[in-house]
Amino acid sequence: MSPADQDRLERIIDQHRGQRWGLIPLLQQVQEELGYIPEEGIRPIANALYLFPSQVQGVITFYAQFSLVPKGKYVIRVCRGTACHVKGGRSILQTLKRQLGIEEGETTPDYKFTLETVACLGACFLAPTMMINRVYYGRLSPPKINTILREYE
Amino acid sequence: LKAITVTIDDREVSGRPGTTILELAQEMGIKIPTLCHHPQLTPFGACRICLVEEENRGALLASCVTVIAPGMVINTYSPKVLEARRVIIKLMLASHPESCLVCEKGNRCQLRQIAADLGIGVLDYYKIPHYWDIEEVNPFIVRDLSKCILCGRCIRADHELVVQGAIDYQGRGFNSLPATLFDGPLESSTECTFCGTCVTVCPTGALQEKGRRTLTTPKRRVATVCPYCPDGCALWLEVSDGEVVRVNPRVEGSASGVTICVRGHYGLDFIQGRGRLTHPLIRDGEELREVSWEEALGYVAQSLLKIKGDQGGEAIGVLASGGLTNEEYYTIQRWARTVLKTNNIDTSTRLSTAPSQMALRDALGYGAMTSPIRDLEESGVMMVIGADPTISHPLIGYAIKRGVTHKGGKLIMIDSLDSDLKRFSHLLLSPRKGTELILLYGMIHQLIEQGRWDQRFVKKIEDFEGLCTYVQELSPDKVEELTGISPDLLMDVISLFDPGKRVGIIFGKGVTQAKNPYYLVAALVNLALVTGSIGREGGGIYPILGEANFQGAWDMGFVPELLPGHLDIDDAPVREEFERNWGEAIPIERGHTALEMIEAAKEKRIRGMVIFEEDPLTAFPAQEMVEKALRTLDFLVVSDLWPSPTTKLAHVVFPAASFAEKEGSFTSVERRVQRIQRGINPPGKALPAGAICSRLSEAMGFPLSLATPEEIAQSVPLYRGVVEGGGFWGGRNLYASGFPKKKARFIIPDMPLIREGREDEYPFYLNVGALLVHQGCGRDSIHSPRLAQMGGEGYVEMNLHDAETMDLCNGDEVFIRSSHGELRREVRIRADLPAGELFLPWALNERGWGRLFPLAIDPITKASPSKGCWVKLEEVKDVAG
Repeated sequence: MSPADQDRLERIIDQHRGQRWGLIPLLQQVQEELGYIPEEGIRPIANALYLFPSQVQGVITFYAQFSLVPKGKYVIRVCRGTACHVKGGRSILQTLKRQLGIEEGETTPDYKFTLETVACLGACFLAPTMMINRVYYGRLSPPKINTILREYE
Repeated sequence: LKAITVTIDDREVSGRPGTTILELAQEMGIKIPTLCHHPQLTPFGACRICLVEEENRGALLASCVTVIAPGMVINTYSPKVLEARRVIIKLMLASHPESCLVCEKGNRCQLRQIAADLGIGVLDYYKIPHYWDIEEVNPFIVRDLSKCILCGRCIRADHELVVQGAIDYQGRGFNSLPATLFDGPLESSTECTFCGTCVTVCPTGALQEKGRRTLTTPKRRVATVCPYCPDGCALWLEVSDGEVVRVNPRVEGSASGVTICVRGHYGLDFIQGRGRLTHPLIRDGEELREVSWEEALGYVAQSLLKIKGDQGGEAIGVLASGGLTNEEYYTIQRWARTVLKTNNIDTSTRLSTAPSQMALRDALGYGAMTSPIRDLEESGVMMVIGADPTISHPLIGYAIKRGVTHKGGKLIMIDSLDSDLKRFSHLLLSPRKGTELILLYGMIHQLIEQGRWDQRFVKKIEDFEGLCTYVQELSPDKVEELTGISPDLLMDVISLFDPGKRVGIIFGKGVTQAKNPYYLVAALVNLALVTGSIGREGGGIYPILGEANFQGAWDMGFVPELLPGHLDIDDAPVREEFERNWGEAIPIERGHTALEMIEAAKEKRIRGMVIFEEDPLTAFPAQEMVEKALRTLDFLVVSDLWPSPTTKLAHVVFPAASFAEKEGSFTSVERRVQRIQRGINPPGKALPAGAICSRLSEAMGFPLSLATPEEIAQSVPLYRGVVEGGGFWGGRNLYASGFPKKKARFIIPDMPLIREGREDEYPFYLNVGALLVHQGCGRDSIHSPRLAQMGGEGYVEMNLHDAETMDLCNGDEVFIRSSHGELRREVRIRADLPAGELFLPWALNERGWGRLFPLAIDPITKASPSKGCWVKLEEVKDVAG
């Protein structure tokens, strides 16, 4: 954890100190600002909220929105739902893997992209779909992937 | 409250609102299978195996979490219910490894039992077991999480009962597991204490005991009590073929429930550890020679009679550990008083327990804990001073943590800064060493000033005016000047003492082995009295000291100044009644206490000593003086389980039986009298201490049989009706119906409250203390194969900052020098120690701590400070380098 991240973490913890119920908002804020929840942060968070460190870890590992490892600047979520699968979702995933040179769940060495899959993005009418951070992309095809990725270069 | 009527299995029944279907069914004798449910844990509803059908709606309800509602019609075994249960169990089995035949859990596996009850044999589901690494590096617990059914019992027991927080769920879905922080093995967790509560509650083979001697299902079990600390945890010794194969907590009617600790759960393998004494030995020059009991007893009888004849009974001393049974204490003190004709009788626990016993007796009436351990949870304020209950008395540690976490209690800690409890504390106070008395009276002064005292209660106490006068000078500024505790911090402390809130005061050896221990304990009692916390639920004085049955030793008169039943030996009518009952005269001279006996031996006033299961060479301060004193004796006989430095000096050594090899009773620190029972035979020719005393007395020409519980109840009225019943003597709360002397009194010190200087030459304060895996000096625990693996070699711990200043790192050797002596130890750096303080375990590395302390016998209590001292460090320079 960088000293800057350390400061930001401490500031967020201070805002929630003593609020046992505030664990999830606190974690969301850390995830949002730091891009992940540093392992070294678990004990200070637990101490500030009168929780056990193992409990804090339990919550972090339960929710997909929290990550204990740093993620890329852009998180790509490829839909692996039924409709997308029928429409060729697998080739979308393979194209992304090839283009980025990483496997599912991995992050590029320059921390630009993280590649993830999800069960359904709820936009089946646009199949095959993916999201990059909060933006949806639909009716995808392998050539279209290259164009989209270029936007984020 | 109006009862609610429901129908369960065609029978109408009514229960109180809030009762669950499961509870009501169990009361009716209906068996509903459960997995995640445990009577000591809050209902959880995770496994769904306890489903029942509500026939009005046709709904399946988890009976463990569903409370009864009017008009419910419940069927606990409808076809729908049974089918649902079968599916649940089959799904669990489908992800469970097929290793039942080699699983240690064997027939005790609840998953397997329920499967059998539901008639599930070969599984018709496709099996997808999840294999995880088996963790078995630590000496106590094997974790094979592939057998985990995620019932969460271990996690809830950890959070609700022992409140350690070592584990919680990690991950989600198929990948979820009970995990430590960062998912390391248990030994990597800083929270896990290996108490084994999780193993006790685990329904499957996911958590198992490691290093058992035999893997059979024990043929029988024997109810007994743990012999380590005096919490009095109730145990089952599970026995097969003359061996104790497993020890488990005995839940019903016990103080401990399912929560015991690593020592009781896994450290009793010392019974069958190597090197037990098996034959009587007689000194033959440098060697000890095996002899028959007849020869040994004859020789001892003759030698003791000779000393008694030549110098009189007062030239003989009898010393014991704090671990004999009540019956043994009673018999041995009677033998010493009536046969040897001496009052030189004491236990080694005097060093820590006498200040507490004496001050409590003088102030309140009895030298004993005032309230049951369980009540501690209900205290509004808990104050821990000079103690680490999580290590010395784990049951009390659990109660404090439950009180703070679940009941909103406030925890103040004084001088206990390196304890795991500090995670739970609200205020930490670290007054300058030796100024605790000033701090306590400063607190009392403020409580009175601010009206935070119980005026109605204090009317029942003598000498309140004396107390007010004594503390009147102690303004917050004065307190700060002397103790270093700021007025702000003092006010924070006082603000926790709301009128009406009961205070539980927990103190340990840090108080009773300090300077002026009697007045320190008295000050704590005064604080409890001022806040009206004595004799009421949720408050009290909790001395946490001594060994398994130290309370029994005091109760049975195994001290020079008291006869059985806490009766003063100087009281002639009392003494005469005992003389009538025993048919022998009792000497009137005041006897020597433990340390006085050592002094007297050095000065040749005591010529012969009989020592039962104690090793003064490692348990007493001023080691070299103790050795000299014991060498000076004309005759020394030691009865013990193992050879020790003291047996090496003995003329005769008797092999003694352990707690598992004899019958009797222990009185716990909370005054609970509980039976210990024989589970196995002693090794070789070893005998229980009581039998040894009885046979020795016979050999001396005075037949004396071991006292029975009835005989004890006869001469100790306090023990009437409790010896067999496992109850508390004096009632659950000792002063619930008033004080025995009508009024309690405030004990006011006859000394001014000043700060003592210290010599600048010694910059570090050395704390000497116990380890979780080694009770006290480790007399029994160092012989446990499993505990021994955790202790390590001898070391001294220091703060990182201090180590850097002195240019020391882990593994460097130092000389520790006090004004009295020196010791060589390896340095270990520990982050959470306060700067300027060191920690040295009593138990490890030949236990040489006694070399650092002089014998400084306290005039009132006859104890000698031996918990901490000022030292300096010097690095050992490698000569070759």
